[in-house]
Amino acid sequence: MSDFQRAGRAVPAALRVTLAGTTVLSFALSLAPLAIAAPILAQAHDAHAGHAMGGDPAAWRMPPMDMTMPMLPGLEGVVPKTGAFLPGMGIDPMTLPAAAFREVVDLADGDTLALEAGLVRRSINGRTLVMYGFNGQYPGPLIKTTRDATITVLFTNRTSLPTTVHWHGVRLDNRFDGVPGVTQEPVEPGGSFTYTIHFPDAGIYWYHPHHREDITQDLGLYGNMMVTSPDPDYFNPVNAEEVVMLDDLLIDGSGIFPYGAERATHALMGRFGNVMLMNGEPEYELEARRGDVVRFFFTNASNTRVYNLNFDGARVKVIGSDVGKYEREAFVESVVIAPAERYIVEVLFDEPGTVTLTSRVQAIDHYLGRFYPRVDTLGVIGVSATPGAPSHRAAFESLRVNDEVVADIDRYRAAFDRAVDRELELGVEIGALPLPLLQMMSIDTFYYHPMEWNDAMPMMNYLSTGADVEWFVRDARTGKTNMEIDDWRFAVDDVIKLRIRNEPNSLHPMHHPIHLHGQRFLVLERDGFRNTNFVWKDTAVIPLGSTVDLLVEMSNPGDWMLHCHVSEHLETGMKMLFRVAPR
Amino acid sequence: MRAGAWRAWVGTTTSTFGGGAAILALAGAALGAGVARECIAPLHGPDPYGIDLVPTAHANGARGTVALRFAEESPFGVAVTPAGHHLYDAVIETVGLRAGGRALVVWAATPELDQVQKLGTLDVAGALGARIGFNKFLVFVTSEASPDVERWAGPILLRGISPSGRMHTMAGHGPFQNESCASVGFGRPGGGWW
Repeated sequence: MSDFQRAGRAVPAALRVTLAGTTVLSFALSLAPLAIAAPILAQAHDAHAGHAMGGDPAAWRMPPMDMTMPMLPGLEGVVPKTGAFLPGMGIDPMTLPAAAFREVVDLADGDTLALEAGLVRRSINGRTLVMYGFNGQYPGPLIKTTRDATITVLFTNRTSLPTTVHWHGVRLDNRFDGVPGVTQEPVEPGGSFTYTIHFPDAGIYWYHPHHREDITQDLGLYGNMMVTSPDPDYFNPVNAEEVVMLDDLLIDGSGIFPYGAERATHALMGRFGNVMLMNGEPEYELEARRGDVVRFFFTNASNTRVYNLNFDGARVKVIGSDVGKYEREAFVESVVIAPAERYIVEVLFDEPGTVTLTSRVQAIDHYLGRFYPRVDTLGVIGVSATPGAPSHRAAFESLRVNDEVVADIDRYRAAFDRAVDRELELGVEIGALPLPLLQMMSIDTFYYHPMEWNDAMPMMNYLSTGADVEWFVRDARTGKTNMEIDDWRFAVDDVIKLRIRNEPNSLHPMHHPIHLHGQRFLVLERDGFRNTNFVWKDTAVIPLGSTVDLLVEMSNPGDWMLHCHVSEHLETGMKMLFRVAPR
Repeated sequence: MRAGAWRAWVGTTTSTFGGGAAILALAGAALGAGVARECIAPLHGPDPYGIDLVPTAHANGARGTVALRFAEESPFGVAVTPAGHHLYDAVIETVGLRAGGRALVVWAATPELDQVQKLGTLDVAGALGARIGFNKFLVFVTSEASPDVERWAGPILLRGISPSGRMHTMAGHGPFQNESCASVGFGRPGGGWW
């Protein structure tokens, strides 16, 4: 019997529908058939025993933590201002299809793919979990196609939530961008939508929902699109390619930790997971031969976690990012990848043995006032003693200059020194969080790091919702914020300099991975220092207190979104629209 | 913007922690009863990339600053070491220091002083550019017999701590005053602090 079944049958009286809020009415109503509160289950919390919640009759429980901070007085029994939600509660998981590892789908120009989002049964670390999958797979199907191809995707929503599919990074026709309320209405449960996707750029892209993705993306609705160039020498020769999606999932003794029904929880820092997944697997494995060069295409599909990828001493060369290749390849010691970003790296496995792929960060423990090393093992690459053939070592050792990328960017260099056209400020307004939280966050010893690498305040974070937290992008000129901003109008072929300042003087500042839909941009400057090796991007991380200048090529007409790609920041308001008119 | 967001905080800063228990108890009651309450407005936070260098008795009247920024050449949005420490390019600027024929050497060190990194020697203008790979660290300027010293030996003239230095253990303080400091490695088992 699975844990879900045990939980459900042990405390049936605790099950109840939790639709208290009315803020997002359409969503709340849509949840009604399946929005049954997660059962309460007395449990010892991971490394946190003794913090009895005591009292919530619904579903919430203490979030799992990897630290020793005692319960803050005044917080016992406090729960987020939203009901708890897990998909498929009340459904016997064994009646759901077991999810299969993703398939590779080769699509030529004019081909069609049927894509269906629905419930699946997953097994992670020996636990049976109810999650979502595209076409019953984890991750979703890997779509391989060629530059300049146009494909059709017949999407059907078999989940209980309204949803859409956003084709992240693709400069596609605006009508198919998958933004609910902007480019289309949400696809209701049982509904369908036909997307036509044209791929003007080679590179690695991904697709994911754009409606309550804090739930649906977190539970597995994501997949990659690999767009190849017609140039056979576009990439260096390698022995193998791996397309890898990084994710993390929050699980405790009772299963997947519940999500907010009417609004997202974890509004302050985003929802960090405690189980690391590479391509949906907690124990990713790869086999290589001595001397093999493997090209990895990494996508960070996590709600909020930033990874610092280490290949345990194997040499790593970064060659590309969101929308193509760098001007110049570079050797790196680790790979920092924020939510929604992609990095393309080549790794030389020089020595036989085992290479462990880890994420190594310096986490904060606010209780002890210190940083501590946190190492998450993501996977293992076994390197055999058999020499790889052919050898691509020579190509790996050479740092290529991509002349075609340089030439492409040359067209924009004259604009590098133009005046700033638009300026955004990033920040947060916080309302009536529980007073103990506000006090803790106000004291001078409570420090915010330029990058939040771990959930350093799990209880505070979990309790925060969009009812009390509003993240914002603010137009520095007009003072308007988020969807109030209504005068960002450009024309196709405009090239604009966008300055983004991540304001440090708020109660809870944090870094933000900012994503622009439908266009590509260059990260021109960071804190006044000019970048010297460009790559086209669609997502750029802005550390706390930093100012970043982007040069945006407005190449694609339509109404497009700019937002933070921390799922919970997006859900709590951090988004705006800009319009690009055709010429 | 949401109405009813933070109002200006006119309370005393010292009571935030020291009187925390009573306030927290009230807060808990207020939460339970759903009672409206005053909010505390955030103060302007200190510069997350700036360090003030303050003088010791060996350098009365001198002062300095350290400006941090993420190291330039990283192809990623932020520069970090493989272990995850932030990698900063630091600009150290000082005024009022008198070399007196000695070298003014700048160091960075962990708060425990278990790792000390020589950053370099101040130039004639009292400035230095250097790279720092710590997250929580001290910066200090010493007067040394030679610019070639490898270990800090002379008197400290200026010192400062990274913005992250504001973090210290909460055990035994404020709302956590009943928590055992010794159990988390602070204080003496018999009670009391250093």
